[in-house]
Amino acid sequence: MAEQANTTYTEREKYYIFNEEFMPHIDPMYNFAYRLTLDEDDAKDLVQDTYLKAFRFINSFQKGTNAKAWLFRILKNSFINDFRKKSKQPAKVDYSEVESFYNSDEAETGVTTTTTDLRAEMVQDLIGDEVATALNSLAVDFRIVIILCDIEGFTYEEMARILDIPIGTVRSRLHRARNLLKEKLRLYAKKMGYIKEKE
Amino acid sequence: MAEKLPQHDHQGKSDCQDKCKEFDLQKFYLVLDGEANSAQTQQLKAHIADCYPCYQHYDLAVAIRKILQYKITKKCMSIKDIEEIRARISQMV
Repeated sequence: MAEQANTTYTEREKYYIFNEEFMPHIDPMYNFAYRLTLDEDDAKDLVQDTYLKAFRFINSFQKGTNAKAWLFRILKNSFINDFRKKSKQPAKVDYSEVESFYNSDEAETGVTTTTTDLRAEMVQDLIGDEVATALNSLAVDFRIVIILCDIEGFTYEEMARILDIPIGTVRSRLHRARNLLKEKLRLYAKKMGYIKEKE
Repeated sequence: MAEKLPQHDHQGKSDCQDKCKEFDLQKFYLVLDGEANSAQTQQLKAHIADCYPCYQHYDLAVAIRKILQYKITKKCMSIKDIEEIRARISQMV
């Protein structure tokens, strides 16, 4: 990660690292960028920007460490620090939703009362677009942890490094994100008639 | 991970369900995410084998992870866009 001491690579080594360690992750990077920006062109620009930065700062990458996590961290920082500010689109972040949920009792109890009627078999019948819409409707902080953990399979430790937050915060944010996602999926299941209104 | 998963008495499902409302879902996720130690994992597996409400919570968490992994369309960078990145890298040297 960036905190580590720099290594000075030769030009040949730089290209080797770039091609062999960075480029294989381009599709997960593009998917991550798309789930952050929700726009294909913006995602392409964000990935391109990330790879250019990765090459520019390649001396701060330690060979043999987790290149995917290193790249995801750059992409996340580019999105937060640069891209979102430049974007014509206002950030689709509802911080009131984030804050109110962080501060709610429900966030601490773990099991939301509203999601108890959602069952695995109902979720299995949902189609991909509905799942994507539910995920995309989450505030970006919550969306990111679900993508990193459930889709990309990063460990809590890797996520803590990518997001620059303590592991405890990773756990609690992930927990809250999953509760919110469950609630969104429950609404879809209800709309489809899998969940009946109680009399 | 030194924390222990909560223990419950099993005296019938309705009783278990009441007690399991206090079950820590965050610890379910430790197991699901491969972050729990083997004792915690075994304890959870033993628990959900006996406790249907907890089994349902765990099963739901597994199902949601699966739809996130397999049902959301994966997008790919076009060859043209990948080549553009390579070209811009070449210009940086």
